[in-house]
Amino acid sequence: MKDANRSVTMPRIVVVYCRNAVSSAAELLEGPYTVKGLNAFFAALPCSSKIEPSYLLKILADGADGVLVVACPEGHCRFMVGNVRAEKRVNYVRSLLDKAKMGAERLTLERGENLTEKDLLSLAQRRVEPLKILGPNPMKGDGK
Amino acid sequence: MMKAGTRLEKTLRAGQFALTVEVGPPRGPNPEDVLRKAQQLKGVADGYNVTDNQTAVVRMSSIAGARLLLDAGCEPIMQMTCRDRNRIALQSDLLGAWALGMRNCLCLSGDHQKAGASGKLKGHPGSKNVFDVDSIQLISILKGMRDEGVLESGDPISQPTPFFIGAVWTPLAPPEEFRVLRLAKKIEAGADFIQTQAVFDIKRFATAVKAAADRGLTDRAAILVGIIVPKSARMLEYMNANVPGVEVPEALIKRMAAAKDQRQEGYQITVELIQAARNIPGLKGVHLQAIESEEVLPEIIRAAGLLPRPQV
Amino acid sequence: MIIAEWKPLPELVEILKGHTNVLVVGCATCVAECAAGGEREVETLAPLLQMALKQEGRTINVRTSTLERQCEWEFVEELAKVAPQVDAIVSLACGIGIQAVAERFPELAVYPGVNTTALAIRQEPGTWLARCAACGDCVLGETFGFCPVARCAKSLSNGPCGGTRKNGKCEIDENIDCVWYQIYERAKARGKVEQLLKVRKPKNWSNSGHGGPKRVVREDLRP
Repeated sequence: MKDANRSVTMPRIVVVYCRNAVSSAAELLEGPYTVKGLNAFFAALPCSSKIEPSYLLKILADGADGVLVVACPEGHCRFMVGNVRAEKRVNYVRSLLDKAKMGAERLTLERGENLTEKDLLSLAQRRVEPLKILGPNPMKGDGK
Repeated sequence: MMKAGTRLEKTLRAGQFALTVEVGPPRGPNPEDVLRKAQQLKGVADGYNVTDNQTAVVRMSSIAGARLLLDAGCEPIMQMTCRDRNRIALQSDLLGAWALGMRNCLCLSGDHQKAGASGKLKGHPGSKNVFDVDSIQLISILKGMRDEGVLESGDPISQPTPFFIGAVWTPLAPPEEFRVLRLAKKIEAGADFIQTQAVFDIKRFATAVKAAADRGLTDRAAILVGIIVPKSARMLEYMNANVPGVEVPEALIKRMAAAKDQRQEGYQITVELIQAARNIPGLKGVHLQAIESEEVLPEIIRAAGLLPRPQV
Repeated sequence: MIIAEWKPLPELVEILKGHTNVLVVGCATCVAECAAGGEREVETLAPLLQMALKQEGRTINVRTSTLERQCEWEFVEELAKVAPQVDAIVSLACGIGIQAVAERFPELAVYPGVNTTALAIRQEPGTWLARCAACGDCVLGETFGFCPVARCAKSLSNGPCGGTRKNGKCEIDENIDCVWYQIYERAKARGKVEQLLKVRKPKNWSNSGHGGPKRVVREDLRP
């Protein structure tokens, strides 16, 4: 019973990550990645600063349960301060999510460098439990 | 020639060191609150400032408070700010105030309404301010009504309204060099007497008065130094840090902090400030404030050797 | 530019509760510059409104459009095609743009998505400061290019009040410069302090909103 319930509420997580945060030896994760205990969709960006508040909100309005932005460590941005901008935007969108009563926790930012596919999957995996606690996105199943 | 013939004007004209005190109207309609203060203070000053919703906190109107004081035998200095009334209302209130017997009027721009939301009070920070005219323009309006019997528009009134016109001066606020020039503008506009922002640093204040004297301003208007009775070292620290234009010397704060009885020390400091101010050339009087504790004033005034007040 | 800020989200949620097809319209001019009502903000607010209304149990369809200038009739006309398909419009333009849309589509509920707050300049990215009060009686020639009407909390005409902080800021907001402090410093630098000694007479406010709604006519330009 418990397991069945879990599969129904398995959160869908969209991971947008800076490709410079990923080890050059690693293969870039793109598109859906469904394994046991994880339902994620990966998209690589040339820099984490490419995120726009409107994109992040649209992903959630389209029914994703959570969005994870993966950026390079502070001071290690190929474009100087792109990852600082990304963090400011994430904080701004989190404040909007709170005002919309969606919960700021649906959007988070992690930092890392030389990440492997395994690392990315593990970062996504770490979002599963918090998002389960938050419950499913009410926008889910709005025909999108 | 007398301008309004008030007790304050006569005192100054007689060359006496003048003394005014501040009486804050109550945050309510009870006339007894004003009359009680009048009884405590009757006879100790040459004029009683009645504030006009100071710090933008709603209180009994300065006109009503001033009339209550007048009836109780204390000659009021009605304060009037530009925050809440346009030139139509200001002039109308001036006519009404004169009809009710007011003859001293102190002109101020007025604290911004944001100042009212502090401490326990909500105030009215969402209100609309007016500031149709500024304090200097208000002074010139009073002068026109008195000397020419005309309103700001140039329209005549049925008879002039002789007011003894007051203004305020914050000599130690930045830009400090400009403050004496702004004082000159107020006097140019028609101010007869000046009450200053609270002074604790007599040395710096004396320098500012000298700058005013050098421009001939101390002969053209009577400057009364503002002194607030300090209650505690904390109050002095607060004012020094947060009230623009109020400069409290570090030594004074330390002295207060070291005192066994800070209230008593505050009275002593006040007496010393008054005595030091009397030695400033060109200074014509003192404007004394004991915020929300006016009852302590008679004792301080006596200790400063300013009682009884001269008969004029 | 004219600056505006989003209305609080609960206020927008409340007014949209009775609607199902909503058009959010932006303006690519001033409100885009001040990041309140350009395309980015329209595309941000639209999904946010959907989510906020969903929390109230309402599902709404949201369309978006951003006009080149919402205060010009020619551009407002572009909404004519989509207007019949919606039952409410939320405009993120300044009050002028909102009224233009409301006037062109009188059959529709048109709501402000923003509060229009000032005529301002972008001081640095992310910071806008009021510069003009549209008072109708410009004094900038006498105040060394600083407007005391818009930039002094009391719109004083004759110099600073006693509320200038030690660092030259205004007593009511430590982030706002005392404009009279700035005017004095500029006058001093230009060697023209005496220009500030003149007692300036009360202003004539009648050439602005205080004289009734403003109307300007140029006969040579009329049809």
